[in-house]
Order: sequence, then C-alpha cells, then structure tokens
Amino acid sequence: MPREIVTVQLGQCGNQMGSVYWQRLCAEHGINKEGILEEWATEGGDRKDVFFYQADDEHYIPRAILVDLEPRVINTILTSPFANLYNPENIFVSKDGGGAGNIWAQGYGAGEKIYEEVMEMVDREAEGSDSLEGFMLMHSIAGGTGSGLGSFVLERLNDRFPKKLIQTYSVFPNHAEPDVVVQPYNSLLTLRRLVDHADSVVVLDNGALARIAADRLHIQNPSFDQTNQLVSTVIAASTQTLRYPSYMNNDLVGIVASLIPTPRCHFLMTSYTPFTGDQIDQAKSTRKTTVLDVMRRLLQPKNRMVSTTPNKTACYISILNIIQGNVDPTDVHQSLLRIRERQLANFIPWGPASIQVALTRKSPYIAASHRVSGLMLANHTSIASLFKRMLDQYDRLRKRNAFLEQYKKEKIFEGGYGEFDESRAVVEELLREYQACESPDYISYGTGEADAS
Amino acid sequence: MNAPRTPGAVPRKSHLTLSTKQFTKITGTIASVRKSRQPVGNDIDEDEEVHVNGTRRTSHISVDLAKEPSFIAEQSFIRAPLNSRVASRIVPAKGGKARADPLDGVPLDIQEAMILEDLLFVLMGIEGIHITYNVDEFPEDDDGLLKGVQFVISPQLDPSLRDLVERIIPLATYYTSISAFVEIRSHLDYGLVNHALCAAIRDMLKDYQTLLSQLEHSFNSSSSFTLQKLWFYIHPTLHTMSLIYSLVCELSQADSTPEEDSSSSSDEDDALNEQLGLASGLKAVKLSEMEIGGGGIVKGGEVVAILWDRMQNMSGDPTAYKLYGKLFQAAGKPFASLLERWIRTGLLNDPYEELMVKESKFINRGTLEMDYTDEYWERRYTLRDGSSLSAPSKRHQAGVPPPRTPGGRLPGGACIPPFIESWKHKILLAGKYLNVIRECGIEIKGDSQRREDWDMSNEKFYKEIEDAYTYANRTLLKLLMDDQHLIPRLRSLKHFFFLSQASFLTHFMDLASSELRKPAKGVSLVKLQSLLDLSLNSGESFSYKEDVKVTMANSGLYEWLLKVVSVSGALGGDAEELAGGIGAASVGAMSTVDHADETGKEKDKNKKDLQGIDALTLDYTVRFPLSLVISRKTILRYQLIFRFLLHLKHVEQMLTSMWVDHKAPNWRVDTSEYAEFTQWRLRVFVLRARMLAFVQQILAFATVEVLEPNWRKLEAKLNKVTTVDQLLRDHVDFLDTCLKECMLTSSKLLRVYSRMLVTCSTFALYSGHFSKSVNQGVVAISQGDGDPSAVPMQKRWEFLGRFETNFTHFSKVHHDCVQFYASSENVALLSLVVRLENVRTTAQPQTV
Repeated sequence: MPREIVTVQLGQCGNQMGSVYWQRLCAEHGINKEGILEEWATEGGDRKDVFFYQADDEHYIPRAILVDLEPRVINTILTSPFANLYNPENIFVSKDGGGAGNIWAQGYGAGEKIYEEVMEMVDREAEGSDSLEGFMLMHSIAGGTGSGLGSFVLERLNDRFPKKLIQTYSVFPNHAEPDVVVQPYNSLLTLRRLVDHADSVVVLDNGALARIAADRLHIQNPSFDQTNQLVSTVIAASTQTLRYPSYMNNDLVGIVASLIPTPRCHFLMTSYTPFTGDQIDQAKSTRKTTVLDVMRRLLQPKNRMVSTTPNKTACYISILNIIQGNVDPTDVHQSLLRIRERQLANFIPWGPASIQVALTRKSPYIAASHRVSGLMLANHTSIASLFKRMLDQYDRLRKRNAFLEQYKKEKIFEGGYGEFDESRAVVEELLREYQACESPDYISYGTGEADAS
Repeated sequence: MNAPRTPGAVPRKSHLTLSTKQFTKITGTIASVRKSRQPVGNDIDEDEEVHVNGTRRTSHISVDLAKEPSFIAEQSFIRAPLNSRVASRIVPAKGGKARADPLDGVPLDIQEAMILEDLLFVLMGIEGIHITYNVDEFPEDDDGLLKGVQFVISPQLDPSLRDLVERIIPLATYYTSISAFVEIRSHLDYGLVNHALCAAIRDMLKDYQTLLSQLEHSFNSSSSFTLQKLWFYIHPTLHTMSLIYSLVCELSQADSTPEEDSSSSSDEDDALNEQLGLASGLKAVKLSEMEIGGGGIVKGGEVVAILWDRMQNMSGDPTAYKLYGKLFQAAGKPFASLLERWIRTGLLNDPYEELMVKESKFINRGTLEMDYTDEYWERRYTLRDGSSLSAPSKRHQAGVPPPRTPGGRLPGGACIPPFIESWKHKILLAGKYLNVIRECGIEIKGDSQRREDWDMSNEKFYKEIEDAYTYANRTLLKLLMDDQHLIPRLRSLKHFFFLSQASFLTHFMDLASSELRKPAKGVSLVKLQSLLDLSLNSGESFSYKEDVKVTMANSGLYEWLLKVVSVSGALGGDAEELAGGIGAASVGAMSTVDHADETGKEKDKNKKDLQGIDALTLDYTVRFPLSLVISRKTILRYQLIFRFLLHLKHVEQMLTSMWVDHKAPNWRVDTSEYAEFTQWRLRVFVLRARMLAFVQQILAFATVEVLEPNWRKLEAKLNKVTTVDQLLRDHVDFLDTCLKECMLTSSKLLRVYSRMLVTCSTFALYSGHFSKSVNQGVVAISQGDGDPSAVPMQKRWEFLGRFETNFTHFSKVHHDCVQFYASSENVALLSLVVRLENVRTTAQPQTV
C-alpha cells in the first residue's frame, strides 16, 4: 500500500527497542510470531502494509533493517520466538563482532566499512515499496554503534533519499546516572547529525523514562525491557494514525509537517497517558479517562518523556494529540475549549498555535482497561534545556581533554578535534534558535514589509 | 290559466311543434339534417302567424299527430342502435290544451278517475292527457334531462284534486331525472363506481315500478281506489325518490362547470412547458392523461365522496341515512376493491382513473439511473390531488386537475373521500412499497384472509389499511436493511466519499499524480479507474469497492456550487431549496443531453482550464431498490462533499511536499550573519505553516466535527427508523446538514474560501521558485563573505509579500465571514471559529 516506512534499528538500544516495538505491532494487528495473520484477526480496517510487506506465502514481514556491530542483541532476537518474523537478509551483524566500544568515532568509522552492505538492504527495501514515505531510525545517542553508526547512516540516507522523510526515535542518555563516561562526546557528535540530517527527532529521554517508571508505575530500577515497553507504546501510538487510518493524518509527512514549522527545530517530545498494566507490570490503578482528562494529563510536564528544566518563557511551537479509543468527536471540541480557557498550554507568539487532535481507533485485538488513551507529540522550546545540559557536560569533559585518545584513532579525527568544535557550534546554534522561538520578535514582520508593498 | 306561459316562450313552442311535424315526416333520417332545417322553418313559417292565432294553429296541427308522441317519447326507440346520433330527448307533444278541455264540467269522481289514469302514466315518465310536459322548460339535452321533466296539470282540474296531484307530480320529475341519470351514467366512460351506483339505483327503480304496477292493478280492479289512496301509497316513495333525485342532481351538476375547459387547457400548456426537458414521448403520454383527467367527469372517488357527504349530512333522517348507506355500499364496492387490491398487492388496475393513486407508467426503473429528480420514488405513484409531492413547485403539479369552482372539490379520481382523507398517504405508500418489493422480483404473498367486500363505513376498514401499510412498510424496510444491506452500503459511501479512511486516496493520488496534473480533457479515465482499483485492492479491504468509479466533472467545484446556490436563490438557504437547486443545476452542469448550445460551449471552455485533480470525482453504482435511498440526487451530494475534501487533501499534500522541499540543506543551513536573508526564510516557513494549519483545521473541522458526528446521528436514527419514507428523509437531511455545515451552501463563504485555497495552492506551486531563490542566496553567501549586499533581498520580499498580503487579507475576510455565519444561521461553525482563532497569529503582519 502507499506510504511505506522502513525502520532501521541500530545498535544495542535500537535493536532492543525495535524488537519490543515489532512484538507490539504484531499484537495490534493480529499477526503471530511467525508472521502469519491470526485467524481471528478479521476485523480489518487496519493497514499493515505501512510497516509490513507480505512475502509470497502471505507471511507478514516487517520492513525492518537490523544493524549492529556486535552480535549479542541480535542473537537474542534470533533465538526469541519472533526470530522467524524478520527477513534474515535484512539483519546485519559486523563480522568481527567487536562492537564500537561505546566510542562514537569507532561506530562512525565502522560505517565506512559496512556502508555498502547496509545501503544495499536499504535500497532493496526502498525499491520494494510502492511509494516510500521515509525512514524510521531507532537508536541511542550515547553508546557507540547507535550514535556513531547511526550518525553515519543518517548522513548517507539523507544524501541518498533527499526527498524522503527521516524520523528518528533517539534515546537520550540519563544525565543523572551516565552509563558511559564518554557519553557527552557521543551525544554531541550525534546531535549534530540529528540537527543537520534528520527531519524529525522524537526525543526519548532515559532519565525521564526512569522517572515515569518510578512515579507512575512504581518501579524503582526499571529493566531495559520495561523501559522498552514504554518506548514501544509511544512509538506504536505515534504511528497509530498511519496504521488505523481515519479521516486525517494518514501520512507521516502530514503529521510531521504540521509539527515542525521551521526545519531546524525538529526535536519532538512526547507524553503518553495512561500506561496500563497490559503493557507494563504493576501499573497504577486505573482512573476515569475522559478526553479532557487525557488531554490535560498530556500537558503536564511530569508526563513528558523528556526531563527539562522548567522555564517561564518556554512555550509550545506545536502540539498534536493522538487520541485513541472510541471517542465522541464533540468531546474533543469541548476539551479544547476548556484547555484554552484555562490556558494550560502556552504557544509561540508568532505562528499558528493550536492543539491538533487526531482521533484513531484502538487495535481491536488488544484489550485495554482504558476507554481513552492519548499520546502527545509536541514541539516545545524547553527542549533547549536538554541541549544546554548536554553542552555543559561536554564542556566539562572537554575542558579536561579526557578520553580523547579513543577518538583520535579514527579517520574523522585525524586532522584534530575540529569535528567536536563544529558540532558544538551547531548545537549551540540550535539552542539559540529554540530560545529565539520564544520571543515574539522571532518573526519580525517589520522587515521588508515596506519594500514589499 | 295561461299565466305561466311567457310571451317569449311562444316561438319556442311553435318551433317544437314544427319540428315534431318534420320529425314525423322524416322519421328515420339523420338528425343533423333535421337540425339544420329547423331554424329555417322556424323563421319562415311561424314568426308572424304565431302572433295572430298561434295557439289555434299549433293545436290543430298537433291533433293530426296525436298518436305519435307516446312512441316518440319512448326513448328506447329513439336510442335504437342505428339511431345513436339522434339527440336523445323526450319530445313533448302538443300543448295539450285542446285535450284538456274535456275536463270542463266533468263530475269530480270522473275527474279523479281520469287524473288517476293519467298519473299512472306520468309517474312512469310518460305524458298523460291532463298532465302534460311543461313545454317551456322542456329539457333539450342530457343535462336538462338529468334535471327531470316538469309536468303541468290541466287548469280545468278541480282545485281539490289539483292540490293532491301537485304534490304527487314531483315524483314523476324525479323518476325521469333518475332514469335519465341511470341511462347516461351507465356509459363506460363514467367508470366502475358510477356503474355500481347506477345498478343500485336501477334496483330501486325496479321496486318503484313494481309499486306502480301494483297501484295500477288496484286502480283497475278496485273501485275504491282513490287519489287519496294513491297518495297514501306513494308518499314514502316520494321521499325516497326525492333523496335519490337530489343526489342525482348533485352528481350531474358537479361536472358541468363552464370554466373547466379553459383552465384545463392552460394547465396543459404548463404541463407542456414543464415537460420540455423530457423526451417527447413522455410529453404525449402526459398530454393524453391531462385530457382525460381534465374532462371533469364526476366519477370514482368523487362519487364516493359525495355519497359519503350526503350520508353524513342526512344522518338525522333514518330513511335517507339508510338509503344513502345502501347506495354508498354499492357504489363504494368497486372503489373499495380497487383500494384493497392496491394496498394489499400494489396492483393498480384503474382504467377510469377512479382511485386517488396515480401511476405514471412511463417512469420506470431505467430513469433512476440517469435522472436526478428521484423520479421513480417521487413520481411514479402519486396521489391525484398532488399532496404526495414534497416540493410544491409548479413543475410537480402537472397532472393535478384544478378544483371545481363551486365547493373547491377536486374532480373525479383526484377527489379523496373525506373518510380516507387522513389515510391517503398511508394508502399511497402501502401500494408504493409493495411495488418496489415486486420490482425486486419478490412475490408478494396474497393475503389469505382477504375479504370479498370491504365495508368502508366500518371502523375495521381503517384497521385493514393500517395493517396493510404496516405490512408493506415493514417488508420493504426489511428488504432494504437486511437483504440489501443498506447500512453497510452507506458506510461504504462514507469510506469512499467522506474519506473516513483516507489512506486509499493518498495512495491513489500518489499513483495518479502525473495523470491528474493534465488538463481534465486529456485525462484517461480508464487509466485512472485502474489506478483507483489498484489502490483499493491493496491493503485493507473495502466492501463494495467494485461499485466505485472515477469520473470527471465538467466544472470546477466552486463554480458549480456557486451556480447551485444562485439557482436555489438562497444564501445558505434551507435544505429543501438546496435540494431543488441541486436538481436543477445538475441538469445544466451534468446533463447528458446537450440541448443548450451556449452553456455547452461555456462548459467546454471551463473544462479546458480545469486540471484533472480539480475535476476528479467518484461515482457510485447503485442498483434497484437501493437506488431509491441512494439516488442520483444523494450521490450528487456525496460527490460535492467528496470534491470539497479532495481539494483540501490536495492542497494539504501540496503544502507538505513544500515542507519536504524546505528540509533541504540550503533551507537549513545557518546563515545568521545574513539576518535579512534568514528572516526572509523564516517568513516563508511561517507562511507555509499558517497555510498548512488553515487547511488542516478546515479539514479537521469538516471531518471530525461535521461529517463524523452527523454520520453517527444518522446511524442512530437508521437503527430505529420505522418507515421507509422517514429513512429517505433522514438520509437526505443528513447530507444537507453536512453540506451546510461544511459551508458549501453559502455563496459568500464559498467565494472567500475558494480564494483562500487558491492562494495556498499557488504558493505551494511556487515552491520550486522559492527553493531556487534560496539556493542562489546560499551560493551568494558562501561567495560573498559577509557582505550583506551580496544577497539582494528586494525582489524576494516583494514576491513573498504578495502571498503574505493575500493570505492575510483573505484569512481575515474568511474568519469574519465564518464568524458572521456562526452567529447568524449556521451555529455549527462556532467551533470552526475557535479553530481559526487558534490558527491566527497574534503578530499579524501589517497589511498596507
């Protein structure tokens, strides 16, 4: 069918997220772990072919490319019950199996070597679709493979498919408890690629995910799997309108274009409510879910999956609420009015400012204890505080010139650390742009108007 | 005693006698010959002499012919088969004065006997010796005959007898009138009801004749039979006969209204004009129908109605009530059986047009496929009084006869007897539904408990109608809902036309984008159809997708809508008018017949400018009987909404593809040293974002707040709908509400709105231009090395400024417009106002 999306999963984090995500999609569409449509999955009305294609024997196969530089995670996937779901030709594991050692430069450098093979997979998938809409990248920006190789793939994809949309689901490190010492370096270098080569970045902040797991679900030390459940719920919800089409928002471009008015400010944050016991163990007991209730919760900072420092001037550039469930359309209007009345959401002063709402059906195959659930995709200027924090961390590390030897080994740093400085400049510029967005003078209609008339 | 004879009557009398003379001479010759000679003879022979001693002379002549009158007066002779062209009339014999003389001085008892003998004749309508026809008022034609023959009593009759005779005499008049009525109205043209009535009256006349013969027997055998006795016997009959007589008079007077001809002919002209659009064959049928219908014979329903009225009015008089009840029973029988057959089986065999239900045979299922006016449902079966047609426009009134001038009753079959007046719609619908069912090839089970005759004055009769109606209704509703899957059908229409799962359209537009960019004329429908099938076949399964067809409209959506709105003459007018408007406009815009050359040319011109995407629309094949619900008229409405949504989707796609252009590196690259250039780029972004937001808000409003809620309402209604007509009404109401709330019914809104979209799409069209400009700018910057003059901004601002000014201006006008309508006539727009307010930016550029 139309507007296919090819998913590229990179690195340990990306592949873990991906495997949970595909399990979820299968469950939502009634596809079993062999890729065969369950007999009871007859309710229809869903579009499987955005994310799956059908092999000759009617098996559904994800349009997914799994890439990692070390075999551990992929081996886990290949020994899991879902092993047969994936197209084996689309799985790439580096032959030396050494991984990227959490060094961005190693991952990036590996990209040069495996470029041909990965791009061949991408090309094959792209050609296998009728009208490719774009790519979805899943990776983390802290480690080596996801960030380094991810950056490399991002650059190449953008170069090769300039008219295709590239959306990434990027896991940002938990700044409070860094897993990797060089994570500030890795993040900064990846961030530069995300700014320049990705079209839309859904920021998934590990810190916030841990906080949500603790606050909402009472899990103090969430496992990877539990966090990935959260993440996969969010990704699945954000693609809900593509998979369960209704009147509007049936293509990714349409969704993203309204969220991102200016091309550089394309970092989106998400909120989801309510998380239920079906997806996460020990979920908090259910409460009354109305459209208004869901929409109000979505706007609360504590539900955001990005930890930001509160800031008085911060405001929304755009909001899209994806409301799932059987909702009376008139409720939506009422809720919007209430939210407007109470001024729960501040918007930028210079552009179209409104909460857009997309209504979708829920998957009929998954029993949910909630009547209504919602995902918010928002472009919010407070994301700048995240960048600010990353810059600070980088600056602290860089001041000591710590751990730089590992990077110097690779080709890209042969000529010195100019790459670091350039990346820093790009991120700083982005930071400034987000801050500028908050000002009414961002778009000054005075300029040029006199000349124009 | 000559007093009653007015001088003016004299020539007439002589003329009559003269014609009698001539008549006897030329007995057996054709009447027309005689007629032509009459005036001549009259002028030459009579005029002078009459003055001198007219009476003498005429009576003298009459004597010779004394034996003739009874023979001539006997109608059966004159009405002999071969003599049918001879005017039927009872020819009065001579003045009778000479013969009356003998009564002078005759003893009273002899006088009584003589007059009794005379009376026995007279009561049978035959002239006696002493009681003779009143020549002055002697009827000349059928109409007159129906009024009855007047008799005069010889003036020499003793006053004591005379008084009694005068009381008896009207009976003779009644008899003549009634028997004339029976004779005339038994003709085929007068229909079954009149036949039945005549038969019933004839039976009563037979009783009357039996009475007379008994009286004659008594007169012959008994010497004690006196005038008093006669009076005694005849008295009750007199009353009965007078009742029948007054009925007969009412019936016969009703259809002799002079205005009939002129009015019906003008009506014909109207009908003719109205039919111009239709095939000439239909016209002929219509015309012939008109002639018969406009003739104004009192028959069918009207007779029943008159009888019913009399029965009700006379209910205080037991005799009258019983009499009329009997006649009503008899006359109503054929009517009731027609009615019963209609409501039980839907069969209409009504050659004399007596029933109030009219079938227009020329409207058949075939017209349903091409006609936009719901011909079949609305006009195939109608009530003759025209009340079944929803729109009281003149067009529809063709075929409804004008009411009678006195009393305002509709003539003939169009008259609905008052006792079923309130049931008429149920009666019409019952049969109509059954016919639909039959046309679907389903046999209607004949009712086993069918009774031979229906008593229309019985309460049970109404129950029968109600039962039949409920049965027909339930059967058809079940047929539509269960066998024909109406609701899934409507749901599929919602899929295809309201784009409730719009992904197929996105795919289709992707596939067909190159084809749709061509001018509408050059688009290959076959190709589009195969592409549509392709996009429908892949992915989720749509039911009934095989019925969806691609077509190209002849004119742009907005021009067309504006035309529709202007035809209906109402800005945001009510649904009813819009319906008419669409119907009328569709004839102009979509008709397959090209009879109007200039509009045809204009259309061609429009078509040339039209792009494929603007003309693209879907069509949906519906088969009978679903086509009754999903008629051409409703599909037209679906199409309007579809094209409205399609256009929005298209503009949305254009703007998002512009967004894709804007993600190119040159749009992103940091140019902060060139503040003005950066600023200009931002302004392009923001304008695009504002347009996209506008388009998406309209789209979201139309779908989430108009189509979906209304659809849900409709579905809820359909789940508990009980009558088919209610179902039809709900469906059309639903569509009209959708059209109205989508702002497609107000010319003002339409104009502004289309300007908005044109601005947006033009802006998106120039996307390449903007990209080129940016590329040049970036190149200049990379070479210019910090020199602000390296990037000339003047032209860029001008170009962008035009779009900005335009969009800002129109969005303001549009917003005001929407606000105005939201506060006046279209409350549903309130939420759109809120949406648009959200989209409007606080920092509006100043429009100069």
